[in-house]
This record gives sequence, structure tokens and C-alpha cells, in this order.
Amino acid sequence: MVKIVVPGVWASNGQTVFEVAPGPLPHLIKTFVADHPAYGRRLLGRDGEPASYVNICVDEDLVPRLSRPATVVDDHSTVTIIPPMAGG
Amino acid sequence: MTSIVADEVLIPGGDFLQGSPESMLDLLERADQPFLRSWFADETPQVARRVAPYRIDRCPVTVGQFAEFVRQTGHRTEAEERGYGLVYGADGWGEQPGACWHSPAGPQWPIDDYLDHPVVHVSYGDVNAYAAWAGKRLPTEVEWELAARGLDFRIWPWGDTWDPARANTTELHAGAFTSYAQWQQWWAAECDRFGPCPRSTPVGQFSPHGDSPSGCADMAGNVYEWTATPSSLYDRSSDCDPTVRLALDRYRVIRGGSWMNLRFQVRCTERMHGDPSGWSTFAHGFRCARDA
Repeated sequence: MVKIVVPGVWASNGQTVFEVAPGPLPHLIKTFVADHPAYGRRLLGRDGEPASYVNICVDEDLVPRLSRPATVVDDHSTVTIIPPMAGG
Repeated sequence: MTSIVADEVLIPGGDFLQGSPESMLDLLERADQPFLRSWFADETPQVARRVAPYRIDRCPVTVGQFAEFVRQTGHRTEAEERGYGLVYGADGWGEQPGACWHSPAGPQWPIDDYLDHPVVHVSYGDVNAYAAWAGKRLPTEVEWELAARGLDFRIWPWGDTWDPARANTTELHAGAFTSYAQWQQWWAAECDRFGPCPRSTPVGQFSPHGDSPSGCADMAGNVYEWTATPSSLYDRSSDCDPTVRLALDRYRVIRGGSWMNLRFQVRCTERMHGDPSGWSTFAHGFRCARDA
């Protein structure tokens, strides 16, 4: 499985780490939102795709926005969501 | 240009401790606020800094000042180039078509008497372009904090006692909130009544009672402010949120909080981190500095 980590400030019940099946990055994000709809407004744009202004790291590497569609996330990886304003 | 130069404060510099003592985090942990201690870990431990003399704008750059920059240079902001700006609506952040520095909520919600408000929807690139045109630069993070609180630690620019009448925060508009849910409810109602228009105030409106010891205005609230400093921890071993850790070395430090925040997010030592790759919102602005 792939771990998805969201900012602590987003967590409504303290949970910040989730699991989804490995696969293409956009599909993985959309699957996560389908499982946890409360995150949809934070992660998806009006077109239903991952919002361009939200940054996504796979393990330690920031995935360039244009490379997202071709990025496949392997089993045991960690996907970290970094909002454009972090912390605070 | 004359007015831009005149409204500066000379900070003589000196040696001081940047950041919060652990006692500040103790206070936050005891306070009726929703965040865990680790959320504030990036502002500790305090670190010794020596700061050279510098000048810093007394107030954030206004819409009127930015308009003059655009008139003289033809600059188009990154939000204008993209065709949308990020606006926080009733359902959270969204891409608002046409929202930019002169139409912060989008063209369907014109705002009157806006020229003396802080300019927003300015990216890191936009603010550096403005600063270069003005013969200035962005303040570093340490310069920003020193201008906000002076050499001695204090929680807010005016002192250690919270007063909602001294700064433009949500508490000025809506009273004391202690949870995100309360904030969401207030903002959804505001959007229904007035549209998603930023609740910024004219720069300097809270002077002198809200000013810092050096005389700088709007350093708590009104708009978030970019600094030039790449995000990093004061101590790499600090136990901070993993999403913040991955922003380090990639983002730039943002200071001051905004009208969107409650009292503890507008403290002098509060740190946020912003993506410098073109992102901007209807609550983010800046002020300039220059060497003395």
C-alpha cells in the first residue's frame, strides 16, 4: 500500500496518515478523495483533477506539476501533500 | 517614488534571539486553540542573530502603490497571466477566474476605496519585481521579526496582552473564536452576504496603538507578508509536521498572519511557508526593505 500524509491542520479527527493502493498519481489522489470526501475541496480543482496549486511529494521528491499524469507511485511509497502555504 | 521612500522606519539592528522560547509553546499548549504543540515547533528554539542596520517600510505595499508600478512598467502579475487567483470561498480555496491584484475577489465583486489597502494576489516573483522597481528588496525573515517586536521578546507588536482592536484579524470582525469550525461558519455567512471579498483594512488603520516598538504598522494580521528567506528550521531536529518538513528549502517564509487568522497565528514569531513558484492568494501581500 501507499501512505498518504496530509497536514496536521487538515485533520478533523487527528488522523493524518492514510493508505491507498499503488498506481498512477492522479488516480491515487482521486481514489483517496473518493474514500475521504472531506478532502475533495482541498485536493481537487474544479475539473476534478488534483489542484495545480497543491504540491505533492513522492517520498522525498517533489513531483513537477506537468509530470503528475505520468507518475506512477509504487507500493510502500509515501505521498505527502504540501499546501501552497504550509505551517502556521 | 518620494512617498515610498519617506514611509520607512530605520531599524538600527543589533543582537537578538529570533524565535519563541519554549515557554511560548507551553502557553500555546495551555491556550484554548486547536493546534498541537508540534504545529508551532518550527518557531523554536530561539537562535542568536546579529542584524545589520536596515530600513523597512512602515506599512505593507498598497494597491495604489502597486498600480503606479504597473502603470510605469506594464508588469502583469502571475495571477493575471494564469487568468485566475486563489480565493477562499464558502467551500475553501478555489481558483477564481479574473481574481487579481485590482479585483481581489474576482471582477464580479468590485471593491470601493481599495487603493490604500495592502495589495494581494502577488506571487514571490511579482513582489520581487516591485521591490526592484522601487529600489528596494524584500526583508529577510529576521529583519521582519526584529521590526515586529524589537530586541526583546513580546507576543504581539504592542506587547503580551491580546487586544482584538489593535490588529485586523478575524477576531476584529467576528469576535473570539477557538475552533476552525467556528471560523468556517462565520466565513460562509460572510460569503453569502458580501461575496468572498478579502477583509483587509487600509494600511496603518491601527496606528499607533497596534504598532511595533519601531513604529511599523500591520505586522499582526491584515495580510500575510512574504519574506526573502528560504524556509528552514532553527534546529533541524525539531519535531515538526511532516508536510512542513518537506516544504523546507523549497518554500519562502511568510510572516505576520492575516485577517483570516485568530490571535495566535498573528504573533511576532509565528512562521508560515509559501510556495514561491507563482502561487498567490487574496490574503497575501508584502512590504519592502533596504540596506541602511
